[in-house]
Amino acid sequence: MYHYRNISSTTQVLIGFGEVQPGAEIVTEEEIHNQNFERIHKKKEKPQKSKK
Amino acid sequence: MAYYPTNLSYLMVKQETTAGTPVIPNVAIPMFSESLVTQLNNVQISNMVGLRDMVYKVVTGKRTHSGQLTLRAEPNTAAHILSMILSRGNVSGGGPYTWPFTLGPSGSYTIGIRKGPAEFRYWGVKGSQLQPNLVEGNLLQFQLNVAALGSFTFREVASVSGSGPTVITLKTNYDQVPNKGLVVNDVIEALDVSTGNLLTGTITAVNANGTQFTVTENLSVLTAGDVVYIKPQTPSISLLGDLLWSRTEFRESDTAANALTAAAQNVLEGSNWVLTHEINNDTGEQFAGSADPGAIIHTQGKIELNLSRDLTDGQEQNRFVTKANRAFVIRHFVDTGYEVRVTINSAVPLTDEIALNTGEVSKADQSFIGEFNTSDSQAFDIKVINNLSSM
Repeated sequence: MYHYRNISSTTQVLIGFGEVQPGAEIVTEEEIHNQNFERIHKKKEKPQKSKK
Repeated sequence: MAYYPTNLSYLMVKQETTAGTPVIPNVAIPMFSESLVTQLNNVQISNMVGLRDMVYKVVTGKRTHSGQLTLRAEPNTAAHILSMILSRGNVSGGGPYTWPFTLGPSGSYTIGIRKGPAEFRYWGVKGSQLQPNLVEGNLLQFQLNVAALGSFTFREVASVSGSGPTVITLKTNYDQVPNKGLVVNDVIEALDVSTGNLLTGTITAVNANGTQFTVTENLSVLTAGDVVYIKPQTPSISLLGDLLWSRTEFRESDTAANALTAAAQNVLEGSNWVLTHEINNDTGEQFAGSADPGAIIHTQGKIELNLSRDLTDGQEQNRFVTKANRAFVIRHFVDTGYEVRVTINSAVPLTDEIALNTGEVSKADQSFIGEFNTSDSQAFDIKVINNLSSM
């Protein structure tokens, strides 16, 4: 899964996906190559260690 | 083998920061047709050397890149279309926003058009003629003629080095500067001819030597003869409503200020305006030292108006024979508050034809040319009112 944010100043209708408001984040199954969208790299959460 | 329906194609544009330096286009303009093509104009040598063959050798010619684009007409992308042909002034308003365009040096654009597996990229693009055409009874489409300084379509690999990052060296069989057109952050696709596999790479550097570029990925399997092109983008659109005949008003009066608020004329289909800003030599200046044009220079501009109206009281015919000028404002309203507005400050009638056919209503087909109005200090201007706060 790939996370992107609309970094343009207008609502973008991403072909194959739909309307994305300015600043909104989306998740796609494939990489998209579009200068209006910036890829966001999400950090994986570390599993909680149980206390002994 | 893959096939590509044309509706999967797209046209995207972006104004260049430095004229003639390519950028990655990011504004999609839906298109209906296009004929933008790179003509190699190769020279066929016919010489006397003891042979009957008419063509002894073909050598590189002086290239041109030009064609016609037929595009959706709406206010957001209209501002980019007009920026290719006229000078754009400062925006005003707090939303909607008004972008003024006057006769002067235009911006220079990079255009990307998906054709088949690749994005064909043209840079240094400027427009020479723009007009709205009426189709399907009510829809207006923009028809724009353009010329460009160069293009990047397909290039051939000469060699590669590294295994991520990978430096790819291109052959110079198309041009001595084969990497021109590529931009950092471009995604390229490479065809491994021997296997048919496609590999993808993101460009991190475009070498100033003109032949090399670097990608992040390991593309070391590529060898001489493999083919590289720009991978098509996923387009996104940000459009307002379309320009429609039913929401277009032709307003006429003695001055442009009065024409803006005058009542709409009863104008028939076949009426339109044509904006021209000529490019010297049509396709650019062919300087020595390069196969591509070195500059695209606008020279003179004009606006023409064609009106078809039912013949009524003869006032328009009297203005024709007395060469009386009038001001026109053509207002293409869109949604609520948006508009493409063409002002012709002093339109002089050139022709007035009243051709009769049995069973019809008498109508007059007139053509006008915009002359320089000394009071308004211009012959015409165009304003685009849209929801773009910046461009």
